[in-house]
Amino acid sequence: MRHEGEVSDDDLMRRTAAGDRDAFAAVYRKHHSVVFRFARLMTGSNETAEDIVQEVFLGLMRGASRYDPARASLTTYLYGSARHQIRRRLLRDRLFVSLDDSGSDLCPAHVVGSAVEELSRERDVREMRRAILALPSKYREVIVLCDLQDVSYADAASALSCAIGTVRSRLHRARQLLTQKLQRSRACALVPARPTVRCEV
Amino acid sequence: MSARSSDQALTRALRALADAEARVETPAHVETAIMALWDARHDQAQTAPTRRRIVRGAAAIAAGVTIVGSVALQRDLADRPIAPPRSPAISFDRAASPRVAPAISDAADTPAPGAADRHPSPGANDARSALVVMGDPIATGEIVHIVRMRVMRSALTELGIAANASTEMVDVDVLVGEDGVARGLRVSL
Repeated sequence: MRHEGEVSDDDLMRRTAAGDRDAFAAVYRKHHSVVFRFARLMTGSNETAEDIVQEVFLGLMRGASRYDPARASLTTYLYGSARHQIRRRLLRDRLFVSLDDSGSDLCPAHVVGSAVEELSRERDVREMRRAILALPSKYREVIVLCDLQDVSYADAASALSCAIGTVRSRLHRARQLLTQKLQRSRACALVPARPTVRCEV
Repeated sequence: MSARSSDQALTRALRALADAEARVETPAHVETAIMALWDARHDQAQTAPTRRRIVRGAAAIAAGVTIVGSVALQRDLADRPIAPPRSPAISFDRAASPRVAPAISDAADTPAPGAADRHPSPGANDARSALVVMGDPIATGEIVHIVRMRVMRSALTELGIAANASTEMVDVDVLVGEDGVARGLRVSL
């Protein structure tokens, strides 16, 4: 099996456009995770994220010959495509559910040592997910891209089709909103968490 | 809580979420589904050329039949005997004939088969007719056509021919070569 890291995206895309199945499989294996995580964080649903991954790579399969490496890297192109699919999905469904939180009991009776820290950490993660999902879409995408997926501002701007300055300002505002949400969340930390289903109008 | 500590808490929470998300992987069945889509798409792409080949073959056969048919028809038309033009009373000895040479011919020209049914030639029933030769000489064996026309008498006068006609319009026979260029003119005097 070929190690995908040895072959550039441009080369893989050229071969994909020529109908090379192995090249397309290599592209998928190299990039599926970022698309899936981005979609999962944006929609809050594993199932929807899976659908979006399929749509994104199906689009790549159909339009491999149209991909122009001079315009953007393949990752940026895939982020842009995923964002388009996510927006379409959100517009269509107007409904998304929270991630499948298996453990809503955040404070078990017997926790000691590092386990306490671990639980605290899990609670933080859960709260953060909820807070991010509650953000407006334009703020959510910059937080997911820049803070969670370590995408550079320039690449994020390219994927979001906006200026770098816009990315910076949205990120600043998104962090403010997140901080407020987390503070509110911690203020009512004693209230037991409930599985949520949220409708976005 | 100060702004600084809030920022730190946010950064920490974001980092924790990023770490948690880094462990998330796309389920394997998604790859299976995508590769199945790839295979289906390329299977279709392979069968499509076969269909296209069949259509192209049928079109080529149809075009061939059309071409052969039209060539055969053209040959058939070419093989049909064309009545040779009535031989004009003209000498092809260009050295002997001037550029514009009225040649006196008898009205008793040998009529072409079926010529009696046609409108009589301008010089056929007259006692005298003039043949004006113009343009390039007629090559030996060249098929010429005689086209009957009605021209203004003044036009003939410009050629130096005084047509013996009471009307303004005069019937003339124009001798047309294979190249479509007029070679001679016969007019009754």
